[in-house]
Formats: sequence, structure tokens, C-alpha cells
Amino acid sequence: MKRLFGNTNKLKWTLRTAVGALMTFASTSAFAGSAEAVAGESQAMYYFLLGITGLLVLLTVSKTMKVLEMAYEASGKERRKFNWNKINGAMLLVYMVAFVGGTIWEMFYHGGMLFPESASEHGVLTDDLFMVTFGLTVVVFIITHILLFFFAYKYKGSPERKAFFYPDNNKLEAWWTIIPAVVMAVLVITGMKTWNQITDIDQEDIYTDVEVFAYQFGWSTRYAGNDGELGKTNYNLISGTNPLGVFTQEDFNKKSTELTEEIAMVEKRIVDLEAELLNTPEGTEDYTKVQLNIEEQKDIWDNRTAHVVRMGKFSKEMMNNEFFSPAKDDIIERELVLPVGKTIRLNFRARDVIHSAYMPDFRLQMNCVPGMPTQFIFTPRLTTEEMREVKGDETYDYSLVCAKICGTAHFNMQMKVTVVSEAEYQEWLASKTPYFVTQHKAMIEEAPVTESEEAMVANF
Amino acid sequence: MATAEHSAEGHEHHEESFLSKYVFSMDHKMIAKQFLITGIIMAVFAMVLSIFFRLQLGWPDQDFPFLEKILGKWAEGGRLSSEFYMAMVTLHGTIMVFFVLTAGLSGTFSNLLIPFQIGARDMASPFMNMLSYWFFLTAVVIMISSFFIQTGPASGGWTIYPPLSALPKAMPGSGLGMTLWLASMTMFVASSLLGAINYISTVLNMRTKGMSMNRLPLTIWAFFLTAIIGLLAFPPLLSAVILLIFDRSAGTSFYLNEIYLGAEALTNTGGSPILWQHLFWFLGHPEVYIVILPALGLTSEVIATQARKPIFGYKAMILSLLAITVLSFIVWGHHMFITGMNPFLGSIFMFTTLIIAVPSAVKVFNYLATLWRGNLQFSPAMLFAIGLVSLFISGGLTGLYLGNAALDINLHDTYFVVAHFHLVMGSAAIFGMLCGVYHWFPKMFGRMMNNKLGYIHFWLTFIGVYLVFFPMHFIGLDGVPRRYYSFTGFEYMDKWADLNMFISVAAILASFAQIVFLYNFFNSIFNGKKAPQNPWNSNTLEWTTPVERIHGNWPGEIPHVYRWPYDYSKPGHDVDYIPQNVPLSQTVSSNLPHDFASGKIETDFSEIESN
Repeated sequence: MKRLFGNTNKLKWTLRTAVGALMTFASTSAFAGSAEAVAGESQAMYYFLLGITGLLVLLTVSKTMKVLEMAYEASGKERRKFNWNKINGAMLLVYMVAFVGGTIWEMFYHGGMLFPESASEHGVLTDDLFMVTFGLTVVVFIITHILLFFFAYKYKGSPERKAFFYPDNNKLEAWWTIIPAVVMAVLVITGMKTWNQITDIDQEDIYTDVEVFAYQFGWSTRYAGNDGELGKTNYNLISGTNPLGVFTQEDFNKKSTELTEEIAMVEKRIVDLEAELLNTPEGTEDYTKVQLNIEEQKDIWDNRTAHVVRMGKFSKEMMNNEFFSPAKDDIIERELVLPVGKTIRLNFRARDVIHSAYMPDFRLQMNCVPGMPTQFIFTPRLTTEEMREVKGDETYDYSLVCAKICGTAHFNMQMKVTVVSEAEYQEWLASKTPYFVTQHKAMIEEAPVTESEEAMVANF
Repeated sequence: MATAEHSAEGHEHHEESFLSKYVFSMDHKMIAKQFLITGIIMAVFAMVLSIFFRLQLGWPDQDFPFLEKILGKWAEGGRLSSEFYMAMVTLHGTIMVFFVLTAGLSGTFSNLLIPFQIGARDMASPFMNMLSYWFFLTAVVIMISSFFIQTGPASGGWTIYPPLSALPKAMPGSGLGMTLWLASMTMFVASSLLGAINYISTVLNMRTKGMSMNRLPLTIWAFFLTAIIGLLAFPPLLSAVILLIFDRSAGTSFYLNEIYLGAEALTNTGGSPILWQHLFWFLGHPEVYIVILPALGLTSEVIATQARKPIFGYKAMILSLLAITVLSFIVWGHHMFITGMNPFLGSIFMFTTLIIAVPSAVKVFNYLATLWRGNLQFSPAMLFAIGLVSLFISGGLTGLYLGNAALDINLHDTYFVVAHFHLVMGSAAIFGMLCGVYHWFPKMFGRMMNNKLGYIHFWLTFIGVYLVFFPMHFIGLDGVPRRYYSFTGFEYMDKWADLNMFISVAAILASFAQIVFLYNFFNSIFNGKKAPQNPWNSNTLEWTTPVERIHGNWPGEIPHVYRWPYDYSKPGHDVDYIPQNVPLSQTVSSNLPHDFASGKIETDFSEIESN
């Protein structure tokens, strides 16, 4: 038997090879590179085979060990046990090399695939802050991991040794409380400085205002027209033709008419249904169906009448505060076009649930909360063209995506973002028709607006 | 004489029916096992969910016909529907966080170890303890039942932010599924509170003679502080849940304001969706410490025992646990940096959040110092403890990015967050739990688990966890948002398709590695080697109890405690451990100067004489 398996050196060699193979599998992220040539499904097979190979190696090792153990037993010697402390200690050391090496490799390989320089000015600051944090954490990460695995290897158990009784050392503990505290102080101070630079905003300054409006599942944008000011909005005014709830007197009137008409219709439907109910025999399925229908219509009636009340309140407020909404020249679009080098104030609103407007190129994200307008002020520094050059990708476009879970099509809610020069921006704006013109075309052409307007307000 | 006999053996010979022994048990050891096995089943369930959605993420264009057989209409033609994808993501999170890592971890080990290690015959209120398990099981049953309803389970993410979760029209999962989620969570909070009150009163009132607070094993300190966090943090969640139930069913507007949905303007005005986030994260952030502190406690105990060395800086370990406990309540705002919260508040929360790194760092350095010049016995439990330290470091460091408000703008709700919390709280806590299972299995079942299978399980899991979660950092840094059903619609996400496939393969293999554990666990319950009384030569009191399970834990009198639990490899003593119940007077050769101080030994002597 001894002849068959040779001496223990051979066993050590087998183990080392097996462990080596396993460790190679451990750092398989390294295979991502070499596997690039293999495409699609076959690549998945490749990974699976790799994993299964790893498992087989493991199985082989454990079986070999069992056979060896039995062989020793058969050769009449005292049953020899594997020194698992040694084996695991060695594995931990190998793991250290593979793990620390693998992560550093990945930082270069996958790190190189990330977004290039920031397309916004504050993004440059956050990228710098990121690099400071990155430098610190990588050093700590590597040192602590080397210590952890190296200690584990170095002090692996042996019956000959006794551990060193070392319950505490106040000085040492003070040091490793103070040092992290100082490092954290540095991070907090630099972090706060950057955070304040991004968020400390003088509302008196002049910004280019653009509205980003989120709904299930898409985005709209609204640009101020020639007056440079966005018109006011109210959720009560949202309708099929006015999806952003922009306020002008015409929109208000139109919504009011719609509501009045709808209420009349629902009332008629309820009367009809109640008549139907009388003709339906009680206790039948149809009877309950009609009953449910009436309930439903009554709910709609409640909703619409409450809506009318809210409209009335709104119109009173409007009159008391000499409400002025410079909305008639607003432009509503489905893409975000921004002038480079200008300070932009993005105003976010949401219609239904919380969304989050995320523009990774600009290191910009802000939640869009229904009933609570939010904003983010920033300055684009690279036009789309310039970014295409930086990336070496001629078709690249910036994008705005939704980052807050918002429903079943959350994963498919994006909008194209384009940054152009100031002149091109103005040109683009000029080429667009204000929403008011398209929406109220008929009204503008046919009737003088002012009369019906006053009549409507008086009604509420 | 008769009474003495009765007190000693009365518990043992107490007749137990099957029901009272295994089902409606009031014995802390049996309840611990109930929690553990329920926890394991839930962990497997949630892991299977994760395999399903990893299949979708790894191969977005591929059909898997077997999925249709399992999931029916939710995977028509073998392709997962996006509704069900959302439901799975939600339930994976909910089950893992609450059922596995809170109930499965705390419930198991607090119940098992608190009476054992402080020297008590049972919990302060065994009946409440039983109720705690049954409330938990009810919560589990309600949650799982939501898989069998028409509209499917809750699917607004485990944080169920309203208005999405408040309005059934907003998504299918916000209908009956959400109602069941809320009902289940109400039960769960009740279970947690019953448990927490019990753990706190047991630790405070039922310690054996000599077991002062500064002689408690670190496990007990961790469980004790966890219970305090739970007691203070769960009630706000319960109130938040009740308010949400009102919003959903009674027409109130706590979380709703100015919403236009389903072609009509809703009547709700005046509420704030952000209010939910404040209330939720007031539990939600302490919750991650509820998850990780017990794991750290178990690890501290195992590392000290298996390094045959006292835990380094026992007092510092307790102080850092205390610091984490206090700080955990004033950091919740870091989940909300970009909700439009006042930026000044943001800087306050950034400050408190980064401070929490200090006690965490102290813990890590103390672990490293404990390993230094130890005599490390690599039992599977020890390996998992080392794995936990590694995961805690890796995941903890990325917390410095997310806690930094300025950096969080770009990282919020991306895969970077997924990577971060799966390492630092998900995997680390699971490693802590597995470490505990391997270490205390002999105490629970009177048998040993198979070490070699344990090693295989550890290595596959440790490698697998990093292969799955480490690359996610880079996907997140590249601005890929989480909870996306598919990445195919986005130009800049295309380049990660290969990596996503790789992660899926790694996740599936790592999941299969858990079969090794399941086999080892369930097989060892029946066929494992019989366990000796103190298999790891440990100092704590649980190893002074007999191997066979008896009511009341100790057949005779409860042992008294004369020393701290970490007298390992004490110079001058011939064995490398001195259990807590060995009087100082018996170990004069190894006593340190402070052991002689303040007449401790004399008290010991007089006590022994009087006995």
C-alpha cells in the first residue's frame, strides 16, 4: 500500500494541485476576460462546466483522502488522521492570495468599464470624493484581509503550542479607536464640504428652469418659453389632454366642464341602474352585479364631486392671491435637452407613485414624490458630442432612468438626455410649439376666451 | 431530602406527550429548534426565489420551460413575468430579513443560549416564549399564503414604500398580497416583541450566582442589546403598518397626497409618502443591527473558544456593542438622502452614520488581535467565523461610500447597495448563523455534525458569496439600478450582460452547495456521532449540562460562576481552558493579581464550605 501511494510528499503534492485548481476556480472572475471570445449560451455552459469541474476536483480530493486514510489503516499502522488545521490554514493562505489578487485585478478590469469623467460640474467633486474614499478603503481592505488570513494561517492550531494569554491592552485599543475616528473625521469633513457645495443653493440666483415629470411608466419634460418662467401646476387639472396639470385659465375651464359633464353622466347612469335593479329579481346573480355597479358609480360620483369642491377652493385661492401662471408659452416634450455650462434647476414632480430620476453620467439623482416637489441644481459641463468623443462611441446618448421601484414596468422607464450648446438649445426651443397652442387650438381659433373664463370661475 | 430529590429530578421524569414535547413546547431548547428549523426552511425558500430571478437576470432572452411547470401563469412560456419578478424580489427580501435573519437567528440562539449561558432553568416566561414562536409561524403562514392568490404576493420591494403599496391600482401586488404582507408583519412584530421582552427580563433577572453583567459571555451581551433594539424599534413599524392599513382600507391620507392614478385625481390630500420612509427606516436601520449583532456575538464566542485565547478587549467589545446600539437609532436618515429631505438633516445623518464605523472598526481589530498568536482550531464554525469577519470588513467598508451623502447621490438604489448589504448584513449574518449552528449543534441535538462536509460547505459558500456579490459593486458604480427585471432596454447596461450571467452561475452553484449543509444537518440529527459533554473544551455554562435534553437544564443545582468566560490558555494552568464554574481557589497557580484582589477567593472558599 505504501508503495502504491508513495510517501506523504506525494499526498502533499496532490493536495497542493487540487487546492490550486480550486483556487483558480475561486478567482474565476478572471475567466470573464478569457471567456469573452465564447459568446452567449455557450459561455454560460463554460461557467457551469468550470463550476462542475471545481466540484469534481473537490469530490476527487475528498475520495482520495478517504482512500489514503483507509490505506494507512490497512497497512496496520496507527490510524492516521489528516491535520485539518494545516489543510484549512493553507487553504486560507491560498484564498488570501486569490482573493486580494482577484479583487485588485477586478478593480482594474471592471473598474475600467465604468462611466468616464462626469458630465456635470458637481460630479467632478463627487468623483474626487469617491477617489479619496476609495483610496482609504482599499488600503484598509487589503491590510485587514492580509492580517486576517495570514494570522489564520500562521497561528493554525497545533498540540505542541499554547495560545498566548493576551486579554487586553488599553493603549492599543485606544489607538485603534482614535485612528478610525480621525479617518472618519476626514471623511465626514470632506463629505460635508462636497454635500454643502452641491446642496447649498441660493434660491435668488437665476437658473434655467426645467421640469421633469414622472408617471407610470415614463417621463415628460417642460421648458419655460420666452419668459424664462415655468407656469404653475396643480394635480386637480391633470387630464388626458393636460397630462402635467399645467394651469392656465383655459385649462381650468376645460377641466371644470369635463367634470360637470362627467357628473351629469354618472348621475344619469345611476338613475338607469337603479331602474334596472327594480326590474331584476332579488337574490339572483344579476341583482348583485347591478348592485355592485351602482356602488362603483357612486364611488365615481363621490370622487368627482370632491374634485369639484377642490377646484372651487383652488379658484378662490387663485383669486385671493392674484394668481398668475406664466404657462401659455411652456413647451412640453418627452426628452431632456439642456444647454452646456448653464446652471440648470431641475424641478421634479410625480403623478402617481414615487419615482427617482437618475442620470448616472451626471452623478445626479433625486426622488420624484407625488405631492412634494423636489429639485436639483447642477451645471452640465460636457455636451453629448463631447461625451461621445470621450467615450469613443459615436452613437452614445445620455439617459435618465428610474431608480425607485415604481411598478411592474419600473425596468423600462427611461428618457434620452441631450446636452447641446446654448445657441443650439435656443434654436431647439424655438423650433417647438408651446403646448398651449396645440392643446387649445380649436378654442383659440373659434371663441373669444375671456367671457367663458369668467363665467366658469363664477360657477365655482 | 424528599424535596431536594424532587427539585433535582422532578423535571427529568416529567411525562411529556408528543404534542407538549415537540409542538406546544415551553422548553427554551425546543423552541430554539423550532425557530431554527422554520428559519432553515424559509431560507431555502427565499434562496429558491433568488435562483428564479437570477435565471431571469442572467439569461433575459432565454425560456425555461420548467419554470412554467412550477409557477404556472407567472412564467408563461417559461419566461418570468415582470409582476412576479417584483413579487419574488420583495418576498426574498422580506423573508430573508425578517424570517431568517431576525427570527431564525435571534429566535434560535437567544432562546438556546440565554438560559444556558447565564445559568437559568428556562426563560423568564416560557409561555410567552411559546407564543412568540406561534406568532412567528402564523406570520410565516400568512406571508407564504400570498403566493396562492390571484394577484400574487406583495411586490413593492421589502420596504413597501407608499403610494405604490397603498394603492391597489398602482400594481397587482398592492392588492390582497399587500394586505397579507401587512397582516403577516403585524404578527411578526408581536412575535418579536414577546421574544425581546422575554430575553431582556431573563438576562436581567435570572443570572446564576456570581454571573455579574461583566462576566456575561459576549453572545449574551449581543442578544441582550439586540432585544433592546428590537423592543424600541419594532413598535414604530407596527404603528406605520397600522397607518398604512388605514390608508388602504379606511380612506385616510397619512401617506398620500395629490395623486392622479387610473385616470382620476384621488381625494387624498395632506399626507406625505416620506412619513412612511421615516417610520419604516426608524425600524429598518436598527433592524440591520438586530440582524448583525447576534451574529457578531456568536462569532466572538466561537473565535475565542477555537483560538484557545481570551477574546481581545472584552470591555471594548461590550462598549462597541453599546455604541452601535445607541447610534443605530440616529442614522436612519441615510436611507433618505435623496428623497428631497432638508440637506442640513442630510449632513447630520452623514455624521452619525460615519461615526458608527468607529465601533465597528474596533470590533474588527479586536477579532484580529484575538487571532494573533492564538492556537486556532479550524472547526467549520471557526471557518465561518473567520468568513464573517472577512465579509463584515468588505461590506462594512462600502458603507463608507453609501453613508456619505454626496456619494450616495450617485449610488443610491443601484447594485452597489445590493452588493453592500448582501455582504455586510446578508451573508455576514448568515455566516454567523451557520457558525452558531455548527458550534452549538451538539448542544441542540446531542450529536456532532460531520466536519468534512462542513469544510466543503464552508469553502464553496465562502468562494460563492464573493463571486456573486463582489462584482455587483462595479455594476452599481456604472449606474445600474436595482430591482430591474431586465437590462436589455438600456444601452449603457449592455456591457454587463456577461457579468450578470457569471453572477447567476455563481449564485446557482453556491445555492447547490447548501445541499451539503442540509444533508449534513438533517442526517446528523439522527446519525451523527454522539457528542461528548464539552466537545470544544469551552468555558461557558451550557457545556456543563448533560448531553441529553432535560427540562430545567441542570439535573442538580445550577452551577455558580466564579470568573469571566474567557480564561483560555491561562498561564500557570495545565489545561488550556478553565470553565466559568471553577472557583478561583482551585486555580491558585494561574490566578492573576486582580483575581486575588477584593477578597474574591475568600468568598469562594466560604461559599464552598457552606455548600
